[in-house]
Amino acid sequence: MVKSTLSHSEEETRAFGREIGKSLSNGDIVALFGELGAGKTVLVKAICEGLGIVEGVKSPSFTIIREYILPKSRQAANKVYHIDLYRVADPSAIFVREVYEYLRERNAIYMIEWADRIEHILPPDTIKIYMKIIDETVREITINHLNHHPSIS
Amino acid sequence: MVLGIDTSCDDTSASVMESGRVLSNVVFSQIEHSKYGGVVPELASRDHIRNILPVTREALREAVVSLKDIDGIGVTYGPGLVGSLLIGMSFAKSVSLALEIPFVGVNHLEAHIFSLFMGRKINFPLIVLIVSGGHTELVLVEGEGEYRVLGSTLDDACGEAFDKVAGMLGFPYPGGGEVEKIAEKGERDAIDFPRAKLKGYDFSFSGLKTAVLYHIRKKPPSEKDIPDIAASFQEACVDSLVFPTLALSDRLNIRTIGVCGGVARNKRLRKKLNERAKGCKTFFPPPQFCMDNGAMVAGCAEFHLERGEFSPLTLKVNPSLTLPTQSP
Repeated sequence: MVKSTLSHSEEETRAFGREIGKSLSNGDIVALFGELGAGKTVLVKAICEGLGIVEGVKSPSFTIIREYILPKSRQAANKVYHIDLYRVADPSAIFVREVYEYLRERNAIYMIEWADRIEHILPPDTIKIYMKIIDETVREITINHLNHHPSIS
Repeated sequence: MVLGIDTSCDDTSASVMESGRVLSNVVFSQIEHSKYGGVVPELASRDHIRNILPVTREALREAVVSLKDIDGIGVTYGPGLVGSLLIGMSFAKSVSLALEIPFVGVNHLEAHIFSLFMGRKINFPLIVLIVSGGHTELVLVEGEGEYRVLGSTLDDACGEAFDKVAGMLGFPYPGGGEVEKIAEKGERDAIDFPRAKLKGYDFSFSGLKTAVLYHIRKKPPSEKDIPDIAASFQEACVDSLVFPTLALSDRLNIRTIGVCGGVARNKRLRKKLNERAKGCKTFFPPPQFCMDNGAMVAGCAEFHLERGEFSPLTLKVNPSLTLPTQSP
């Protein structure tokens, strides 16, 4: 099922993200789509918060991948890979292959910003989140098949 | 004589250093040489593999030395792109093994701090602002090798915000430098972009980036509006860097401030910090040592090797390496 929500503030977006975070488990791939400033990094930070990572989540645009270790008390997974493909407007085959190798392992929770760059390699069970700027505070957030996560669908 | 290698991100660089003197510093920038117009950073890092040998040979040739003159090697082991780091690391370990010389893994952030010390002595303690495309950190340096991070960005790095705003204004990636250039023709106070007000000494550039986006969406800028947008954005960035830095300087009563990293080349940042930091001594590296370079790695490596701090050949790369946030 596809679910569309309007968020009227950054705080609402964060609350939404925290809920998603609580529902994730090891191997989940979350792909984020949306233009610059749509709030992708804000949402990733909130999802991480929901997973119990409260510090150190920031934009990996420059380094492309950041890795966060989950607190031991949260056994959802051991770590999160935060991938940001902003700089990779035109990914080469080798680059895509490399990302594919990461995803294939399924040994972490993956969050991918600018996922449109590698959409063709995303597995069918990827959780896709589309963020759209409606105006300065309002965002439309569309999320596909969260049906295996009853807590928010 | 120490060989320093950096392959942490897009650039491949090697440098030969002898007792703090830079004998050579060769940087091959994948961005400058990209035939795509933009950049195609490779996690697989084919370009580093292709470039590391010629860049190292060139560094030795410029220094007029041969490999057998080298008696220590340092290499960045983090933070950075994992694939890129691995190339430099494997290369440095191989050289270390082949020549039977000590090897040390260098923290890229510590290396940036060392770019301030090249060719001059700075008294401790000092406050260092590391500001680049990947980092925005405020570090207290209490003595040699004693670091404590007291502030850092909560979202985008400053240089990243520059590059992203450049994209909005129609410059190809990475356009941060173009924003600075065109800002010279604009009015700094034309648009009142927000400066993040945070507790403590942290930074935030995401809200500013989004404010520029809204401004552009509301009224698509004509050619003549761009300098004003660039200048106003740059001023907001500079303020967002200068204010926490000076607040920390006041709080700790430390009057020595260093700025390093790619954004340390920004002329407006240099000017404003110098104007506002009354009674402070400010230090900036020469431009060629602001960008990622092997010389800062060689300098940092020389320091550690002299203290007998070698790394084992089992050292692994650490893409998320940081500097300590607690006192050592």
